[in-house]
Amino acid sequence: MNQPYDSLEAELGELRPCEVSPGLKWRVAECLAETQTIRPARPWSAALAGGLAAACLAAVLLGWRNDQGFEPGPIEIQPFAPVVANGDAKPTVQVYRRALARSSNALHALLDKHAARTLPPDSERAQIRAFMRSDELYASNGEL
Amino acid sequence: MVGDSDPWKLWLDEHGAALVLLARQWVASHNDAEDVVQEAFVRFWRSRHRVAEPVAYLYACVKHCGLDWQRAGKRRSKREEASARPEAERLFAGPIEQDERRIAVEAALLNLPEKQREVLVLRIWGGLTFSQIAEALAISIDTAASRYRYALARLHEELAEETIP
Repeated sequence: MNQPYDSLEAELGELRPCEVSPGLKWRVAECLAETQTIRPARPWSAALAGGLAAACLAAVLLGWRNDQGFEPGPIEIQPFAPVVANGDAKPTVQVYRRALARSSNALHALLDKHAARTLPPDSERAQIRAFMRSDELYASNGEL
Repeated sequence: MVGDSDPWKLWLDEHGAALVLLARQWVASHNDAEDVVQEAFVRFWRSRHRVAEPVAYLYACVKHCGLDWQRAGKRRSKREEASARPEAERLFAGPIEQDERRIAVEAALLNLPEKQREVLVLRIWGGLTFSQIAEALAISIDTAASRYRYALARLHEELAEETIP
């Protein structure tokens, strides 16, 4: 390949580079010996690192399994419980409307009932009404 | 402490001189070159099992350490001291009757461009194949062969001029 330079290559090849000093070998030997004395600590660090890695892997796998095992069921929608007005509850507009729908007497009875509950037990009930019942109105006028 | 049976010693015996010659590209003195080789060799020996081509890796380590050394500007005083007495910093060993020719070759070698010189050193004195050179220097095989031819041509030209009386 290098016909013109074959002789030059041969001449160069005959030149020997300066040998390394014995001191270099000693220094290399010292460095490699230091490496070997440091190395025994490595198995512990490797074991520790391996244990940590295994723990992390186990945690990830467990978490993944839990995610896989969780199957969300159908969402149960609880129907609204009907509002039941018990006797102790405070009156609501709806209760009054229902009573009015039944009869005016029922409304008055309900009003009286709730008024009696809110008043102190020994207080006298005032006979004041915003509207007088029709029979009472007629009676007061002497028409009945 | 250093036994002949140590495997690393066989490597250093076989490649040490060429490694120091390669390191001389980036440091001026033989002592500094040996420091570079020491650092590179220890690094190589610790991680040689990880590479497919350990010989190429060894020379690559020397190059990297040499460049690091050059960048860091370490041992500047030693370099200046070495340049003051160049006779102590010869590259090649040889009989005294061939000193004139040796000095001429050394001068021609140092005049080569760095990229050509490193290929020549790896090929002639390191005994690496072009494939190994390509791997060590992270270049293609064609580039390695090309640089080698250019280096020989330039050396041939310079040494031919030297022989003219």
